[in-house]
Amino acid sequence: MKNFKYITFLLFAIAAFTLGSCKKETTDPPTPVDPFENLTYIGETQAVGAGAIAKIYAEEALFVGYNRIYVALYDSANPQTQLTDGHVTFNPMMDMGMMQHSCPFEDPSTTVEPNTKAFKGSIVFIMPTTPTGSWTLNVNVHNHAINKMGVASLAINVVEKAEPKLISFVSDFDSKKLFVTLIEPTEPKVGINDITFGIYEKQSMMSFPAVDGYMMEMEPEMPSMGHGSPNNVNPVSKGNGMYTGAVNFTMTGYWKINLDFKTSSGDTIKLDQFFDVTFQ
Amino acid sequence: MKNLIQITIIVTIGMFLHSYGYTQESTAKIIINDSLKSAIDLEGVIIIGDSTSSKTEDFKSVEGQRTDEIIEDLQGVNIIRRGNYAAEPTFRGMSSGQLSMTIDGMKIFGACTDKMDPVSSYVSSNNLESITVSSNNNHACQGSNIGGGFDFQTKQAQFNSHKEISGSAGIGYQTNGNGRLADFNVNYGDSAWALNLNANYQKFDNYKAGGGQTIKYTQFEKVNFALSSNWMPSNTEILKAQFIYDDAYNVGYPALPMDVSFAGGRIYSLSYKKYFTNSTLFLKAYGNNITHIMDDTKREFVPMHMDMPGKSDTYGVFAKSEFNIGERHQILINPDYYYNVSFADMKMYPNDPNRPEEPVMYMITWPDVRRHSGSLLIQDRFTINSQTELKYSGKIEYVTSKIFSEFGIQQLEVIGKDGNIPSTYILGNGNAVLTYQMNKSTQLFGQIGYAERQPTVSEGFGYYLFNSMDGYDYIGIPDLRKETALKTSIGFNWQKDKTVLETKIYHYQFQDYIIGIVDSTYDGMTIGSNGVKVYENIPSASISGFEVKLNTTLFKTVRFQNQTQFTYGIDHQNNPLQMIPPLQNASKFGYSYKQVKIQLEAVIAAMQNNPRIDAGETTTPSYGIINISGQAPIKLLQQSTSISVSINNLFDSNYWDHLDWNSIPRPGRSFIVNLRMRF
Repeated sequence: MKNFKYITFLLFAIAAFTLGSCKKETTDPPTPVDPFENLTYIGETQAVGAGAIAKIYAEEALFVGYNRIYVALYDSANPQTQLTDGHVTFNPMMDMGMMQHSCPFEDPSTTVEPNTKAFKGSIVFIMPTTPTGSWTLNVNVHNHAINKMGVASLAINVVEKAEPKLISFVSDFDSKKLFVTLIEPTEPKVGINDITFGIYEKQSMMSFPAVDGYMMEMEPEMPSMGHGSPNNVNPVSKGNGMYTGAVNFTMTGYWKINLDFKTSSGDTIKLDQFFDVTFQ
Repeated sequence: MKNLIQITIIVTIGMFLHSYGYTQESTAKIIINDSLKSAIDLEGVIIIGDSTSSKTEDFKSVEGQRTDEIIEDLQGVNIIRRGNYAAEPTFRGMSSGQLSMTIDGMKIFGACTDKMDPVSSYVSSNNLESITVSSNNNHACQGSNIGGGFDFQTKQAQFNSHKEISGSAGIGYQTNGNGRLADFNVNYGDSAWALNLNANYQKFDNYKAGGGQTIKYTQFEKVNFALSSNWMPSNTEILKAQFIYDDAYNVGYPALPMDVSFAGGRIYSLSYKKYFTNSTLFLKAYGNNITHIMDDTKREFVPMHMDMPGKSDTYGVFAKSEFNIGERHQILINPDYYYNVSFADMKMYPNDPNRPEEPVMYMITWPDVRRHSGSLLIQDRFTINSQTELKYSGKIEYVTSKIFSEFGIQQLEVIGKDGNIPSTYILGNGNAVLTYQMNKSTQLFGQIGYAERQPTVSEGFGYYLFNSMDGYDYIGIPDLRKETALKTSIGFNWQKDKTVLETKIYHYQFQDYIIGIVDSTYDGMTIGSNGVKVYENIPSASISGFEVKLNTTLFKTVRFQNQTQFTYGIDHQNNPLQMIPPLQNASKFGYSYKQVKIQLEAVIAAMQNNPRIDAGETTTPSYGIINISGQAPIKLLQQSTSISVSINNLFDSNYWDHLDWNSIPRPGRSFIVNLRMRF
């Protein structure tokens, strides 16, 4: 009978241990959340003439490709006060000494983001900062509170990512110079991923309008194993140069996303373009 | 679950200490040895081992044999070989999820996504008491399945043995493959307490096929320990603890692109049996942890190195109670619960010199599938009159499986399935066997049954599992329908003097048969694969066949056994099913004089010209081989010792069976010497 005692004792011990570990969770007092916590601070400067300070944030350090840019405005007399009534437009400039050019961008909406109270737009940098070329982000600010306008100019650093997010080519169909950015997924995962591309045309050194209405054929591939993945959805034009679809990754590792571009009537713009996507 | 191990150890030690305290006062007990064997199965219980009076005993000594070699001899049974080790048993052309595999009634699910670790590999031949292969009632206790299954019964610790401590030790050598074998068994038994320790070690290098060609990657090394203890706390109770420890290393699989660096099983149980005046009660709790590590580090030409570890943990508890109602009904009630966790993943190491920074590729092949199953079986053995008996049973099982890996759920999105939804099946099984004793020597039987099974973990959740037989990657589907079958068999058994003739024919009519179908919308994942097959239910399939067995005496001194078996399987489009064995015939002649035994065995298999082409099968030529063995006692160190010598594949034939993957030839001629001492 001694053995039964052992078992019983052991079972009780296990039960006690299991139950004992289910302690009540302690609740921490809520700490005020910094709305810019998840964003990367790029810099700040006076919007001369508008009585405002512009603080610039992005989702990560600025890179060649599609960057979401947040502009938070503060009263220059009272820097604790965030200004939400205003109008903000971009004018990014690359100065290469001999010449200057801009890049594709989308001006922020006239209303602020609910969380950050910042004005959100986007800029597609088409080259990195180099020893011979520097980027300046000019932000035109219209402060509605005092109805004054001014420009905040900030020198910024743009890096080229190890895995480029931007490709450019000349259309075989109409010789347009085109830029294509891979916008999503920013954090690829195994499984189904929403995928978004942006397409822009270089009309002049200063004008890069979004291009809609193209057709894209997409085929992900794992070059080192020679296989693709099933059930991908070709991106379709959604306006503002955005093309969305779905890409499937069956495993982690290095993937190549192959792309063919065509006009809506099926004429070839460019074949055999690709983006690399690597994740673990 | 370490706790279960602790309990087992404490109980084992406790019983050991306890037995010393009681040895002196224990009086004669009623129960001698509780073999826990089920009633004789009409489909034939095949018993092998030195402690039973099985008919096959005279025909083959199990010494130095491997478990899969013993299994292959059983009627209706063939083995699928992918290497020289751990062959997968099939029964009448059915395999894997269609069969249940248990050790002493414990459910064990392999941890290998390529089925390279069948349950039989965790029992060593010298620890094997008997194997029950059945397709009817008896097997329902072991889980809902279509084709029946195998129960491997291990050696019990023996009470009241003629000596308190007894046992045997053997060493063996096999020329082909440089096989080294060693085993020992020790039993301690008094009237209330018994302990048995069994050990087995095997190491083989690459073997040579008939004609002398060395077959690479056929090596393996294996060690197996089994400890079991029985304790009788009272005249009517038995408590048993059991622990099996099995490790295999460096196991080659020539038919596959990868080998196994390690395969391990830890199997443990506690059981209790109580006898009442008119009934018995049996309770068992068990667990097992199976680990399997596949890799290709020993292979020469690997396009990309890979690791594929897998694990399977199973815990269960069941009860069996038998009692009589009136004089004619013997009832069995068997509630059963088990829980299984299966997880396997895969790492692929790219080796592109232009991209040295390229990270490891990772995916999950079994996405942490956790399966609960609860079932209830009720069986009645109804004695209609002195000549006729009807045994009928019904079983209902509820199985639910869910993915617990978030990564695995995301992977399923790729094939358009929602992995958050548990897959649930309610399975019903019913069976009836009528036996009629026509006269003193002739018995007739007829059986009819209905069976259902749930998809296996691979069929339901497998993710790009490569099958080197057909070269396809397989994808499991979580919402597959259950596979069902109507099964019938009839037969007779004729027995006079020392002659036994058994014949049976059978037919299985499947619905929603589960099979991999090529889906060209998917891209093969494995380098060089032919594409992807997705598991699907096809409307119907059937398997039928017959078995004939004759046991008789020739010239008064020679025992003769002849076994013939044939299976035929087709799908709904009349295409042959895969892995269907050809017509086979095995004859054995056995002669024994005093303790000298000589046996001659001839195995013939017909050509299989009915292959399933889209499963990568090809026509297999017929083959015939002859094996000879002899055993004689010798006097050595005052102990009872015997020596046995065998020659397998006497004529060094180069052959392979239809079920051998990728037509890898089997071993050529081999001499086997085994020396055994009993004490």
